[in-house]
Amino acid sequence: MPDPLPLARMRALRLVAVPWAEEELALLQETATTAGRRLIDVAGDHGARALMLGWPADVDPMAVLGADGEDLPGATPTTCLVLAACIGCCWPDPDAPLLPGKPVPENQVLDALASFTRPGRPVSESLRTRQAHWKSAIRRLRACGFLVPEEEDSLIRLGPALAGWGDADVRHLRDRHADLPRLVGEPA
Amino acid sequence: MEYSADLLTANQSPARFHDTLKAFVAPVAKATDAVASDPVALRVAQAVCAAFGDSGGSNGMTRSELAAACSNAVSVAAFERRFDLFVEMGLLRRYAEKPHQQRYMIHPVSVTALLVYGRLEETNGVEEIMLLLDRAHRDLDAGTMTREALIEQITTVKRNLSIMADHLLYLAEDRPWEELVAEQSQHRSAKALLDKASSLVGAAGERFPELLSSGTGRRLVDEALRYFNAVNAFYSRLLAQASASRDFSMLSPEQYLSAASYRSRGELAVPLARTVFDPASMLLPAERLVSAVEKYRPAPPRRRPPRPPDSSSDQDPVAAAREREQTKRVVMEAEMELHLQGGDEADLTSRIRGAGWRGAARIVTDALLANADPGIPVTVDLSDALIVDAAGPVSHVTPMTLRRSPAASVRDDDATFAEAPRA
Repeated sequence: MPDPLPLARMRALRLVAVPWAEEELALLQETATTAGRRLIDVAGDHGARALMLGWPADVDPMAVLGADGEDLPGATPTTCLVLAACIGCCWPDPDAPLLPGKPVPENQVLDALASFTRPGRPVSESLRTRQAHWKSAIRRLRACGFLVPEEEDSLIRLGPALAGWGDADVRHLRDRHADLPRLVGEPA
Repeated sequence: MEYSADLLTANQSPARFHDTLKAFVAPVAKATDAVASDPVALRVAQAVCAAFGDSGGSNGMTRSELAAACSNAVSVAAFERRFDLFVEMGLLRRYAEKPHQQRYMIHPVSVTALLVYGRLEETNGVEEIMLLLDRAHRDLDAGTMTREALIEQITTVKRNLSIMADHLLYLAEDRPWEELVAEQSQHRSAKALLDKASSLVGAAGERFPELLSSGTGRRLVDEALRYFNAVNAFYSRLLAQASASRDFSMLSPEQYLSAASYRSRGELAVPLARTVFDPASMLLPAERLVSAVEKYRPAPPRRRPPRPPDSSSDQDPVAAAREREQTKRVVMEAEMELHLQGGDEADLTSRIRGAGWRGAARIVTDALLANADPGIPVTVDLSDALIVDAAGPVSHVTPMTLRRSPAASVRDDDATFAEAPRA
């Protein structure tokens, strides 16, 4: 019988370990399906795997959550640019899967963004000010799961929320991989 | 919960305020129903007071004028029910004591009473104690307070505080939580009251030191402290219950603002330590990323396009080079012809010796270049001899003879690009 508690735990924790027992995993999948969700297998560092709650492929999360496609809360241009740079730096080989990607130092991402300037920003806005905005966006992306929470080595790692992107999203990124911000000299 | 609506406003519920008024009037009441149970009664009096305050005239108001002025606040029926009682009890007085006089004035004491009722509604009398302390302090500073009057004031405040503290402890220990909720907005000035009491006792001790030694001042502070502790006990029970039921309306908005401003993040997190939240999330489709990159990518570096070939002249550079070479050969051949003067042979030695070093070098060089060019029909013979003329323009000269040779046919390529050896 579907048990809603593991589903609630997964929703609150974002990631849970894959159950060892097949029956338990099957029950979890059944519970997710009953709730109109699906389980996403997320690849972590060193081959670790975990489960995350996602939406079925035929469901548009924005439509379910009543989000306006034009005005997504939090999806500011700065946040989008920073995530694009993180993906550009952490995903050097577009033929490889997007996750888990390659951990990179934060400075590499910041340097990749150095040439990007939002129109309308004052000319006097220093690189330090812009970096403060980018670091703020990195913290926001970490909190939202698009990047892994900061660890002792302070490296940037792609987060489990990216596993929620459908094949079309990843294909779109793969097609535009060369355009993603990255350091000059890094493989495109 | 029903009480929640009252918590963020200082007003008591009508029934509770009626109890407060009854207790307030009890010392002078003749019967138990001396206070009207209908809260509209007080509203009518307040409307009448407001009507007089807004009228701006000094001749009073007629009954109909009053009824019209009160119609926005209370119904006509409510006004009519209360009007005669107000006249009978003196809240409204005739402007002149004549039977035909139909204009009325409001009694100032009733205005004061309405202010007191308003305060009772908000503060349940605690503010009165504060005022008493303030007044005593002010009179003490002004030097108009006698020792006896001060003792009387302090004793009055002490007794009132004792009653308040007992009341709060009774509520905190023995009464249902709902009663505490109804009372909780009345006792938010405990710390200020304690401070005022301490301040008054300090000022009294300076003016009348014997008050301190007799223990009068200490007893006031002790009672204020007891009231302060009673308030704390009262709020502890309130907040314990509120915390257990996660009722965020227990504190006033100002208290939340103060906590947000001055408390640490850890302290603020305590109430929510056992609360489960959805993790932060954001809807961010991949196409939004690509759009942002396209929109904000740096402009590609500008490169100057290569300069286009000069199309103003259609002259072939190779032909031009051939032409220049041919011109040069013609000039040189003319010079050689000038040396020969139409003859077949000319001795150039004397010309070289008379031309100076610069001219000698040019004559020798041109002759040797002409000798090397198969297109110019001349040859040059250089003697092995050396003529030394230390005083002449050219001190050392090798005799040179220029001879005409048979014309040779020269191909264009050879004539144009034959490398002329240097002399």
